[in-house]
Amino acid sequence: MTVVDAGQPQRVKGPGFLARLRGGSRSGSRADVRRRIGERAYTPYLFIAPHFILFTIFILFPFFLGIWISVHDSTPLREGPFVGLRWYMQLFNPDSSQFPRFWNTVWNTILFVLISTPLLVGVGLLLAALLNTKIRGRNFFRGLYFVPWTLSVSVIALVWWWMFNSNAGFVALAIKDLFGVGPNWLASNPWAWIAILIATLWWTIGFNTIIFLAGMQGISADLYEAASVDGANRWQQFRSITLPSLRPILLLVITLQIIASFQLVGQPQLMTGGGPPSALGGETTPVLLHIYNVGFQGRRELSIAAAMALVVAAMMVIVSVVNFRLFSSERS
Amino acid sequence: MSEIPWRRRLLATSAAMLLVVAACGSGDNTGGGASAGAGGGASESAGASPAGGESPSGGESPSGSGSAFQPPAGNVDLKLWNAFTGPDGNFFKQIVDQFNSDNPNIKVTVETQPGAEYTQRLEAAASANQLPDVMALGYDQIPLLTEEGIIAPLDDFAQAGGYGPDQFPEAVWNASRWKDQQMGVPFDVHPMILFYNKKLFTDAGLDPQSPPTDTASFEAAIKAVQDKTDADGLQMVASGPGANFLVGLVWATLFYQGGGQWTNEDYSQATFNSEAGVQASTYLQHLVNDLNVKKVESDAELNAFLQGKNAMMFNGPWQLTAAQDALKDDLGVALVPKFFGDGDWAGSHTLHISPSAADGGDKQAAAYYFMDWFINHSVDWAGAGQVPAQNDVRASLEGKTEGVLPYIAQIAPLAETVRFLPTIPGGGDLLFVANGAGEAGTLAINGSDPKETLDKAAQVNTEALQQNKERYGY
Repeated sequence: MTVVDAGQPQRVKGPGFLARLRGGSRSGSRADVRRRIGERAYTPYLFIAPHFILFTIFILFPFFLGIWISVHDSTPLREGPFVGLRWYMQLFNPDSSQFPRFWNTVWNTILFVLISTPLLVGVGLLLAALLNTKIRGRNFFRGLYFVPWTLSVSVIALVWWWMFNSNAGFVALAIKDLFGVGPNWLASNPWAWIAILIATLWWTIGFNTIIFLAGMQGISADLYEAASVDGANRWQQFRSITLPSLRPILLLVITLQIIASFQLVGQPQLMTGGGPPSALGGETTPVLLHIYNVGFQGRRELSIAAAMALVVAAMMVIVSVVNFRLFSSERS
Repeated sequence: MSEIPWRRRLLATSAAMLLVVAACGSGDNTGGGASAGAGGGASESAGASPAGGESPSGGESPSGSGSAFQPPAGNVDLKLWNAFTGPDGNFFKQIVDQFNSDNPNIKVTVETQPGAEYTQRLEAAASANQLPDVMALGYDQIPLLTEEGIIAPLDDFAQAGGYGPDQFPEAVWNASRWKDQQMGVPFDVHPMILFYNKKLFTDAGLDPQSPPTDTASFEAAIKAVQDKTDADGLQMVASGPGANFLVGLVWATLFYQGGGQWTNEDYSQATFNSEAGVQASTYLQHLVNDLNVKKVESDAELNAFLQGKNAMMFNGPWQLTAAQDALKDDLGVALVPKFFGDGDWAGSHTLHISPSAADGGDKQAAAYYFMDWFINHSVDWAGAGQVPAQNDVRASLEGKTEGVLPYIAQIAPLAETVRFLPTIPGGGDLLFVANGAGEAGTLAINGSDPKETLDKAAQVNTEALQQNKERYGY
């Protein structure tokens, strides 16, 4: 907490910037608007300028460029002719050659979101509950579970590629020794998905765990004390005190997890190459990897890749709005 | 959307670095994996495995024409890009280092780009006016990069240096031409070959000196190894980042042997769904279904071969250095068996200059002098596991004993008979990218109907061919 220095001039809540620019503020409140030394009307804009400039260059401009590309027939070094909504029509026309692969990869992504979100949230919650108990070496374990999260996706994908490698992988060989037979983890389903899930779990679980742990530590110990006086056991305490108190954090974690799972790219790209292959593209190819492959690999069909990206962005907006609605209705 | 390429770049770079570190660190030569990089791209220029490096043989270079070009008087810096991310990158660098020390006033700086990103990076560099002066490319990139203004004609270089069709195998030389201009000069050829493990052959009661030469002896060898040893006779890539590339090499070989043609005469229609194509896919399916060949993810077959758990492997000669490090005298190399006839997939690397380097001044003089020097030293490059493209350099391999050169000498005659993909913009896409023939072959291995998948792939490729024909006018 920063302590406010009483001697410093404070910005008092007053009319907004535009109102002041227009000189529309009532004279009575004018005295309240004490400005910091050197503050001008544009001062707040200078404060947001560094971020806004970067935002414009790296997000706003590419976004509009993406829309522009998606209605032209462009290749990397050629600005092609305007084609209107041709690429969008292809994405929604079941007879086009782009249709099956695109929607298959969208489905792959949804599948991953549906499976990974409960798993990553549930296991995170469980680990946090365990780490919140008074066990020996608690801080060591807290650190340990978080370590993988600091690694880059290429590192974890390679580590797990080697673990599941069908000739030399530790996991693959161990399972073969235990059961006599073992699946070809990276080249057949559902094993390829399971391998990706395990890698993702190992990699990102630390983040959810830490957030839950912070939330749990914010719950007053008095509640647990009172509950134990009343004879509640551990499970009852968890269900009736921990979970309800964690509700806002739970929703936050679920929201973040859905977004993170939707952005799956690196693990399948490096571990399975999006395979096993199928007539609909790859069985573990998520939509973002498909867009990358279409736009930047092989024929580099930039325009239709841009159209795909915008369709996916629209889906993300819908998901986010639904999420936000749920989130805010829970709060009220 | 705008973030993806950057993320992928970081990924690719760090992945490549890691593989190198892992391979060097373990020192047991089980490291593999760079064909993952080659799998995605149309370029066939990548694909070497970063497993253990070795210095070039340092053999004496043949006395080439050399004198046709004079180095510039002043100091010149040249920037060179290649995509040799495996041990071949070290060989390349050492040849350039030698050039730099022989020619103090020319400084060539090599920057290695990840193979799957190479074309994309060249395009980005072109639009930012930051193209390198000299480039080593895969032949299949030439037409598109010409159309995009990334490489400049080399007719004057070829003429002054005396480079012409009489000094190179015809197909190799023609592949570096586009729209009646000489756009590059080939410096190597890399045909697909059969790697085999002599010890496993002996264990299986086979003669290690007579590798399979046709379908019958090939299938007999698979069965013998499966029955009499713990190892696999052959492993079939069925999935993974490098699958389309690695299966593509085998598929194209079978396709050529069956007399297949990629497109019709005027490149407006993909014709790889012909009898020859179906026959190729069907044979791959047959190996898996009837001969119990194990399906694995890409590079697993390579690792198993290097570890002595897999008796035979189809791959490019760029894996020779790694295979020799791992298997020593047990490594056997043979030409691809004749399944249906003659024919073998091959690629070729070529040297180019950018339009900005073709300035008619010192830069161009230095670039020409360097390229001529490099091509005349391509016997050193052969040590990386590449067959020299120039006929007399290839002839000079006879009797060489350093490193992998005996193997290179053994496969060198293949350079005379190789076939390439159509040299048109996007020609490599017919085989290597999504919806290409390599993918159709992979699908067949996974149980799809060969004819149906090829028909579908050919349809998509016909659309792309017509679009490119319209775009680039040929």
